[in-house]
Amino acid sequence: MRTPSIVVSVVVLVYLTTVAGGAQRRGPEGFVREGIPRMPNPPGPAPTRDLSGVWVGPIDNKPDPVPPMTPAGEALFKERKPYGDASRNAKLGASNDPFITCDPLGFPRSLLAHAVSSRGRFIFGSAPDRLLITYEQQRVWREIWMDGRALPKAVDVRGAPESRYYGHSVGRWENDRTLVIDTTGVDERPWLDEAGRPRSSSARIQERYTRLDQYNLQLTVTIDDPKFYTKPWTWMRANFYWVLGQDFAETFCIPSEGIEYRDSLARPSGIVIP
Amino acid sequence: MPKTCTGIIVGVAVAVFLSALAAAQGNAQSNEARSPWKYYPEDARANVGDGGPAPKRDLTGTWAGESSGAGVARLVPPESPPPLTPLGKKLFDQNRAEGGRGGITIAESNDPHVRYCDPFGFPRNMNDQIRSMTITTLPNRTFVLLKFMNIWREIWTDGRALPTNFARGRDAHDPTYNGYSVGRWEDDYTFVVETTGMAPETWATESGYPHSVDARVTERFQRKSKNDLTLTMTMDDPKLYTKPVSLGVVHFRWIPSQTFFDFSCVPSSVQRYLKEMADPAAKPVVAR
Repeated sequence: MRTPSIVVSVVVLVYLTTVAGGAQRRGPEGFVREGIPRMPNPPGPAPTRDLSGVWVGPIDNKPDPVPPMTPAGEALFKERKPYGDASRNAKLGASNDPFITCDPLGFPRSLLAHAVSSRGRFIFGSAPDRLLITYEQQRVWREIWMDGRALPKAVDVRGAPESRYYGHSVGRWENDRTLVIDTTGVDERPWLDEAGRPRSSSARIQERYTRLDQYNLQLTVTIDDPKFYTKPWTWMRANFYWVLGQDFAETFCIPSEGIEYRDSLARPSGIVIP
Repeated sequence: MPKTCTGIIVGVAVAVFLSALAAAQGNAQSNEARSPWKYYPEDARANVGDGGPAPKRDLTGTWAGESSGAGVARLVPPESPPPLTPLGKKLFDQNRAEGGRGGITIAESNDPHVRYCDPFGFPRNMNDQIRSMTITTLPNRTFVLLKFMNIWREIWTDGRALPTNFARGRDAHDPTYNGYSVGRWEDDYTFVVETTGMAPETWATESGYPHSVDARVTERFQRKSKNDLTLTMTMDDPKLYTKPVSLGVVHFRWIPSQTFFDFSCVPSSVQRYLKEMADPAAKPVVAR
């Protein structure tokens, strides 16, 4: 998704890219999903302790139901005014979704295939003692420390690190095909999802990436956030697929366009973005 | 004892007390246990010297730039005045950079980043707000991950040629904020990157140098030692400049902890600041 103002053009662009480029971009065996070419079948085995490459998803996301919130979580949730699929009533001009002005999506909302682009592509790279993950959406990146350090016990207090939009993360290989990442210390301003659910800076968010084979990467995300939710739950259970060509598009939400659209069109007309 | 003298003594005593307190706090801070999750600019400043020879063909890691607090100075600013063609001058005159032309205010500026936090785009993101960058290398490409705005660039190293036709449409390449980049090792310590196809609505520098979509920017990353990396940038854009223009030379230092803090321009915060403070402050007072 770029901005509300260019949602239509971006969706069309993605559609045209998919359709027009279909002949060149189609994998040897068609598509896994619209816009995602299938790689040769059967896939080869998963390499050992290696996720590097460009992946697209989430595909077939089957999360658990969201558990009841605590009173603190409910109070914050009531202040949120989502739009689009997340709400049948809220109009974009009246929504307070921070992404309308292109504020950072934050983690883990950044993992969702955002309205605009079902192009949740990301790549794994590395630097001393860490893994790096770059995301197509907003061109943001995260670093995952692999040096055995413990996560910070707190953030935003003396001697502790500041909270971050994408949190503080550590990772470890559980076996040759499964990488486990634990994250905490997220900045509380971003929403957990398009519906506006909250997540706290003390939440523990765990990602489990299991590379099933050469082209399939399974991701399960669990959230444990006692400040705002009454019990932990599986927030994402989905597949990510290898990208033919291993390339990215540039997918930015542009604040000047989003703000102009909201103020000059959405608010005056009361428009609802489906 | 005269009051003045008493006052001076009390004043000196207070000053001594405050200095001692400040020193104690400073010591306490420097003696405080270091969190591996925090960036300590004083530690980065204390990392003097070259650290030994540079590894060959390797820029991987996290680097501090001039806005890191690590005492890293810019070596050469962008060339000024820029050698503009008439069209280049017309475009440059339209760009009202904050602080330019005798003091343009933020309310008067039309800098899309200052007013909205729009992405800098390349090459501005390599010569403005240079806080920290991390570099990672894959077999066919190198990524530059910038801490300011948490944004990354991709540089292909698989030998491909740069595209040449930029436009919106199926038979052309979309202009992009970061352009299209290819890189190669000129020698064991010099990585050269060529970039073109940058969206022309972005500025090339903080002062509003324009660029066309066909501009071609050359970056030379030279790793002179383990701790020192310099970046020299030149832009060739014959439509807007009479000759290649230097975008300056910036310096980076290796960060021993390999950690840095986040820093982003947040659009909603800037909108609130402009609405409540900057724009009203700039409006002339109407006589009653």
